Amino acid sequence: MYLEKIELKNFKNYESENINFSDKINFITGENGSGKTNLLDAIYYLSFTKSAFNKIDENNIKNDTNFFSIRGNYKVDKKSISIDCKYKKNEKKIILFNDSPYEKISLHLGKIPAIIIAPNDSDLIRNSSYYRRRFFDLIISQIEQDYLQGIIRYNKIIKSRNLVLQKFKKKKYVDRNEIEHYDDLLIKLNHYIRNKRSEYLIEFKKKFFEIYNSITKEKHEIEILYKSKVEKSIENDVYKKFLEYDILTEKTNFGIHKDDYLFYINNKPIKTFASQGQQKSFIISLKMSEYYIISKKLSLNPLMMLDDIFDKLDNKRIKDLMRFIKKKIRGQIFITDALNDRLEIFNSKKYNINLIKIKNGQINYDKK
Amino acid sequence: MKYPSETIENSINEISKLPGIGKKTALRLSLHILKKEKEYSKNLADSIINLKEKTRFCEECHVISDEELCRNCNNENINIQKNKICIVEDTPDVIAIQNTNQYNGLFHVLSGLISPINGVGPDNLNIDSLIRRLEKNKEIEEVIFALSPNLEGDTTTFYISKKLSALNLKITTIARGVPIGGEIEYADEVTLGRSIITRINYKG
Repeated sequence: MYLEKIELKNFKNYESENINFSDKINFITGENGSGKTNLLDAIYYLSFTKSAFNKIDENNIKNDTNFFSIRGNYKVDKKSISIDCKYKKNEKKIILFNDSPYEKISLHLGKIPAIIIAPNDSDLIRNSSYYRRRFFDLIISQIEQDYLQGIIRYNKIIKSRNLVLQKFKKKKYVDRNEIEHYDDLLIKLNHYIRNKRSEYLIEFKKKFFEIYNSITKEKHEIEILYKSKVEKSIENDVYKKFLEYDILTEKTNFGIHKDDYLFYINNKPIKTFASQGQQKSFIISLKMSEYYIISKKLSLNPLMMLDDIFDKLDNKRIKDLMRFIKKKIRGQIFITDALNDRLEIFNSKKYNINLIKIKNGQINYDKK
Repeated sequence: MKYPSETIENSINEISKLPGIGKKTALRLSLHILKKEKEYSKNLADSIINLKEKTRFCEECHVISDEELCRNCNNENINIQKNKICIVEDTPDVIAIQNTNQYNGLFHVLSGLISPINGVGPDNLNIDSLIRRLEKNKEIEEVIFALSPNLEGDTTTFYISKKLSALNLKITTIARGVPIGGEIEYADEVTLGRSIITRINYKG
């Protein structure tokens, strides 16, 4: 599958722009602040129905206007597909698939699978468990729509349950009937989500070790462990047991929303014991494994977006990275880079690159 | 938009406050009313005023009613079976179930569903009055829950059924399944799954 063309209206710093893409490598260059990453973000929007960087839709509208729209034309197995994302201030966001709206926006996820590698990926290692859960959840959700609906339902129940706990504490009474139904549903969902997460991790890790070892010369022992308080079999009264503590803390303390994935290098946490370069290799391996597992499960190549990945790399590493990308990513690729003379480093003809130059939210592009 | 008459403008402003009606439709409706005879507009206006002034909630079942007790509760309708009571979210559900002609028992309107996210707890619903009604009314043998099959509906059914457990009543919920005239391949998986689990004996 690939994105043939995108139309932007009032999206971030773009006023009105139509951009055509090649089905192979698209190299997007321009000065800082010209709108390279914004273009990637528009592509991201059409896959994930939200921004990769600024989750509040309103903040992605061009200044002094009150709406944005993005339209993408895709080819999937020689069939044409169009996706629209429209947002008007104070109105509901609309996602159209072949010009017809979804009943629920979340049903779109997985229709146009995509992966982005961006500088803020370091959150995966440095930041809270939320980022790691989200990373793995997004992989499973793009493959299995049921899993996504399960997560959405789980979060809604937790939110409802927590509000009831707050009320119990505030009004100084407890009525188990108000909460027991949530508990029953949570036990089933915990079981389902926990099993999916551990199932997928087993498959993910196989590919991950292989990729990590292929991009690093030194041999490290690396490991990813799924850490969950939720056991394979859950006791029926687990929520009953914790109820007093839950009321005291005004939140639900047991469940898959507390899960984490632990990253290790040579048996030590990667966050504190790995060098910058090792962390970077680790993250690229995570993302490449994501690419591999999604393309295998869905039998199609997701869109790959590489935001500013050459930054701080020397010429040799850039060459190696390009060779690696060309070899491993068979589908469409979007690369942003502030310096277009980097193309000189590797033989751009050999890579059949479509060069897109951006200046202040406007495009002038030619084939090189 | 600019209008030649202030009266028309006022009418458009009011009509367009109705859900689903924009300024253009409001203009068309206003002009339609203007074309009709005087009586038409008077009847329309009266019926709207009466909506607010002459209706209230039935003191027994909380459905929208003209009198203290609604047509179902005032004992005038002898066809009503008083051994069954159907629990619904709101008045439109009563109308929908009555129009199936498959049920002629009592109703009880909760005026909402338990939804902590929307700030609705059991105290905000007509649950205490339901329990009082069931305690008082010994004829009632069966309580039928006809609430939406979503988190809020299921939570409400669960909560009330627990509250009723001491009363020793038959408690049922409406069946969930594939719509009649629908096609199996288009039914959503959860509904279809439930239909398989709660399959029924074929009666020929």
